[in-house]
Amino acid sequence: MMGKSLSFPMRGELLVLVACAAVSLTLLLLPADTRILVADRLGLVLTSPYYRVRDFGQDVLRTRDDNAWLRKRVAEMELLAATGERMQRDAGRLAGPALDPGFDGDMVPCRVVVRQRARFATLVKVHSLMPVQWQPWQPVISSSGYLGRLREVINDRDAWVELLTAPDFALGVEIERTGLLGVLRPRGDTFVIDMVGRDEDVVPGDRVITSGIAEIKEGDADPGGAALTQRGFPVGTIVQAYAVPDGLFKMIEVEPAASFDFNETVFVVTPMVAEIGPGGTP
Amino acid sequence: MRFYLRLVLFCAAVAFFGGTTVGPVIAIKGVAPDFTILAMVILGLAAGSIPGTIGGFVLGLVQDLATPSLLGLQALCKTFLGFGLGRLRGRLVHGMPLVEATVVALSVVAHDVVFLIIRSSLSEGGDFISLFTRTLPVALYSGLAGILLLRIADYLGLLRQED
Repeated sequence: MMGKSLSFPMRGELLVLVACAAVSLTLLLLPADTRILVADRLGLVLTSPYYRVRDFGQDVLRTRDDNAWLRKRVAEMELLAATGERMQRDAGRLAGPALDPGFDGDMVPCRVVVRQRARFATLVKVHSLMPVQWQPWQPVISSSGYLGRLREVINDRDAWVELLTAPDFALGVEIERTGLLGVLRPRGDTFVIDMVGRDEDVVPGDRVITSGIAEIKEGDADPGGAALTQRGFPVGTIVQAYAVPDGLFKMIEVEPAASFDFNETVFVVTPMVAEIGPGGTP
Repeated sequence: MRFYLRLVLFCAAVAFFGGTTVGPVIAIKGVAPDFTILAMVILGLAAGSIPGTIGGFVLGLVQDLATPSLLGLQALCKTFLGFGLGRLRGRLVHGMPLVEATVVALSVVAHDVVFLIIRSSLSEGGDFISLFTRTLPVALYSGLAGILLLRIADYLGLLRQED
């Protein structure tokens, strides 16, 4: 099999190979934050125009369906809000709750501007519809469930989000029915929950939510509670749970609630404005 | 020169439109052919090592821009893959679908093995299960799609039997 007759000297071939490999290695060996910033700048020139056109076409096609779903969700949420108010009135007559009840922040709607369908894609870039004082590690959710967390903030409108599919991602989760706590990690195409004892009550179909337990975060600047993943975001559903022979912990597989392949709009969860103090801490 | 222009346009179309538009449509349970590697196979076999290496580097870099936490890794893997595919030029039996499918499938596997080894050394997660759950199905599907695409490239005069 052969193209038009064309030959290159071996020395030239090796020179090109070494040059390309050297540039690749240089990029790869940059500090993690610098890598993301360099990619962001390069992407503005090389890929951003293409992604914008492609994403616009896809978004237009999906807008009608999304509107229908949104109307449905608005109706559901109005009903839920009414239920919540009733519960609040009832709870006012009782003792306060022992646990964090869950979401009490703001959701910042963001468009996903760089998304890639690839086998090993772990980041998406989002563009906020309004300027926002966001910080790394703040949780990001879609309308279906927990998606990931802010990895690198570019400016007050653009940021990169690390998806739950990233190989070193770990998320504190809770099995809603029993209140059992564990750590969710990606493994291949699936997600597993570690640290749940082999004799615990876990069955397929159990809903998994974020636990709100403090997370370990990299980097020098600790964003404090402003970046805490709150309790109660849906993460997925357990599809398989069994005890491994000689193992201390149960093997639990989870089907994620959110789709990591295609997201048009996502929400960055920020604390209520009044809750943020100097330095981003509540 | 016109040959190169046609070749680059064809490979770019395969890599970008194949990966972003055709791939999701023909995906089976989330498994779609790797059109970027298919484009590299065509480029390497049609034009040789230097275009294969540069093409691999550029395609990898473009992919890296969408996954910037590992900027340079896809470029590095595809640079070596492009070089290897270019070195295969003129050494394969022309017009044998099984050979073409095997080259494509092995390219996908080789790329992903190198990718996963380097990624696991850079991050905490040693995610080699992906090799079986994602890479092998994609390699098989890419091999099948490669037969068709290489026939199209052949028909367009991009791949020709050596005189």
